[in-house]
Amino acid sequence: MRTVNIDPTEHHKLSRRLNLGEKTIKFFLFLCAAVSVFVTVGIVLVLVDQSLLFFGSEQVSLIEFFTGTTWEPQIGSFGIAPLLLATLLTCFIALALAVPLGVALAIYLSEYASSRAKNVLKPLLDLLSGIPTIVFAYFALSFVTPLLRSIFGIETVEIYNTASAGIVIGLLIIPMLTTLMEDAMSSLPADLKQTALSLGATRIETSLQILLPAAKAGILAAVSLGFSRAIGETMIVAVAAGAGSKLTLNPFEGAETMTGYMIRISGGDISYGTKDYSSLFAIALVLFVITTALNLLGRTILRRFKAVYK
Amino acid sequence: MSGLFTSPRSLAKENQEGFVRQSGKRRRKAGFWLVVFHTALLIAILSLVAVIASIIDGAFGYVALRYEINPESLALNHVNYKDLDKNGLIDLLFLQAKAFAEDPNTGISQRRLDALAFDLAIQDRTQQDLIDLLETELLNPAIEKSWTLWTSLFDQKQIDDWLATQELGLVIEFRSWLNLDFLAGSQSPNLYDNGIRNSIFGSLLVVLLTFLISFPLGIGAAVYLEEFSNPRNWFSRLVQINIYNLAGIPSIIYGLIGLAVFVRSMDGLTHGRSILSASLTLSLLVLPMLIINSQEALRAVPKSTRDASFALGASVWQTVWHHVLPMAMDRIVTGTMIAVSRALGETAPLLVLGAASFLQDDLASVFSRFSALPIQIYQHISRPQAGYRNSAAAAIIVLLVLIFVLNASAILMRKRNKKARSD
Repeated sequence: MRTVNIDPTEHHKLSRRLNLGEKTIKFFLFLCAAVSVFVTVGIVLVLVDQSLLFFGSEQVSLIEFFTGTTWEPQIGSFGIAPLLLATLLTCFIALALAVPLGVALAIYLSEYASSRAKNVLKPLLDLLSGIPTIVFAYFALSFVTPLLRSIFGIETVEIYNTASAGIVIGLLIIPMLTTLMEDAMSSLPADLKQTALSLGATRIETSLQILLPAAKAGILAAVSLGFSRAIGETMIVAVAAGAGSKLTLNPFEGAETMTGYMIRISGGDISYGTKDYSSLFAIALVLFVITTALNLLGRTILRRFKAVYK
Repeated sequence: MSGLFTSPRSLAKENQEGFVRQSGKRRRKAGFWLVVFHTALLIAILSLVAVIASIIDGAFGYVALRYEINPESLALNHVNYKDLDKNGLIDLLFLQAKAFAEDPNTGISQRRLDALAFDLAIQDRTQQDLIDLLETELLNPAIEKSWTLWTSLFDQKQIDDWLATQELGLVIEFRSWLNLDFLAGSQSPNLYDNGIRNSIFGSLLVVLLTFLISFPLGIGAAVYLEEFSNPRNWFSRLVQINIYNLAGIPSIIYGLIGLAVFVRSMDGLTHGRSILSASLTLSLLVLPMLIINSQEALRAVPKSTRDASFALGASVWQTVWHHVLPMAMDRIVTGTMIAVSRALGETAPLLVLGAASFLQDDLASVFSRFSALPIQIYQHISRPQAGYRNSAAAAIIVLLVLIFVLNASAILMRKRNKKARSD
């Protein structure tokens, strides 16, 4: 169904009839498809090229970049650890919130919800995922942070903190996680469920002990993709997680993440060729490698999972 | 009997009594998990409600204003300016200009008046316009403090307590931060009469241009992948995997690429931090999603359509152009509009590209510098002074309405097309 030319030899006969105009059109369409490859190549080239400038200067060594524990560009100290740690901290808070909720919602949607409830809930999830992240950033600062401060005390929770940013990123990725997980659960073969039910298992036992383990790979893929999304999330951490890098594991303290630093530095007129400018690209390269690895992992698991149950 | 689940085999071993006991336990277990699921659902819905509530909470409420001169004293023959007719207002304005000539600390300068008359002659202005002019030029209100809607409605004591600690001369009034002046005005350093017209136009123009650039590219790529290439071919598989990866790259990275390529390297063509640069960057950003959506639309066209066309001797392109594309077009347009509406809310790439945070001139061309709605929202959220967060909330409402309108029109268009076809 995907193409008209299922059999390459048949295609051969037809394609002989392609006239010049048809060939030109095909070439143009090919170029359109190739644009996406150019974009990827372009991204890698630009990031690597600028990062080489960054690491090529005497002040910054690759070893210091990955092992240093302070990120203070003004005194020439470039260790990515505090930024990376803050990023991971927000992501773990986000996943700790979003994964259980996502699994629960996915089971509910695929096994329990009536089709009428589904018709209401799915557009609601779409609505949630269509809200721009800057709106969530506002929500973090004007609702979640005051809420945390009133629960845990103003002394414990700073105005800018990674907990608030993490919680809101969690909310942000719930629709994505739920959709992917629900997709995984409903792509399981029907006889799996029917067998369990006919052997006397209740609906909840079927869901939790038969379907959930069977969809494990799909859920893992969803977590991987959600993790990647959380790492790249920018506006929420830029607004709510605080400025100034800090090596801390306390979620109630402010700490700058990789993306948060990038926004703070590039806001306004950054001059080209400076240390700040090239440091952006070095961080972006790290970000790119991590998110691409997680995406590839997620997509691969998903493809294998779908192939098993086809 | 372990844990959550009683396996059918161990069930069979149970005697009748045990079975009854077990079934009660199993029912309770099911009840427990059902509560868990409903709680999860409730949390998700409550957070959506909380997001919307917090925005509305910020966009309306009381503000404390400090005027440069007492509004009561701005009067002509003991008639307050608010009660004057148009001629009275004009007289008052010229009287204030005379007052300035005598004492530069009061009134309005003749030069300022001439500048205002240059925009629009004083005589041609409406009464409301003149009142606004007097207020901004003479009263020059500054926002000292603002309260949320919740506080304004249910906790007025907090406002009174605060007022008691302040010196006199403050005026408390209820303000809808979302108002006509806010929508239609241009940016101003004084928050009281700051407007977002430039940002709205900037955002709309960027999105329109993004649509125009990415739409043909997206369709082209999707048609190639679905209709012309063999999906098992290594190139198509590479492109397909690549598109999914591109869709997962953080938007801030696209911003950096835009900065390095469109703003810096192609400066001569794009004029640096221009609308064109922003649109090109956002086009790259939405392209993967657009291609995926268009591919799905093409796949939804039944194979029999293509077979029928081929059977009549049509070529691949003739089939695509005359049969497949017309059938898939409404879905493609809907998918594109939904993808492009995401671009409307994108903040990080525009910030990195260097969109202007303060811009008073109207947009001249696609090469001019620009501001955008999300940029304004970000700037206002991150300022600690009174009122800025409220104004951000009002701008968020505008942004959400724009996104909603774009999405809704895409869906409506699709429904109408579907109906037209079935009739």
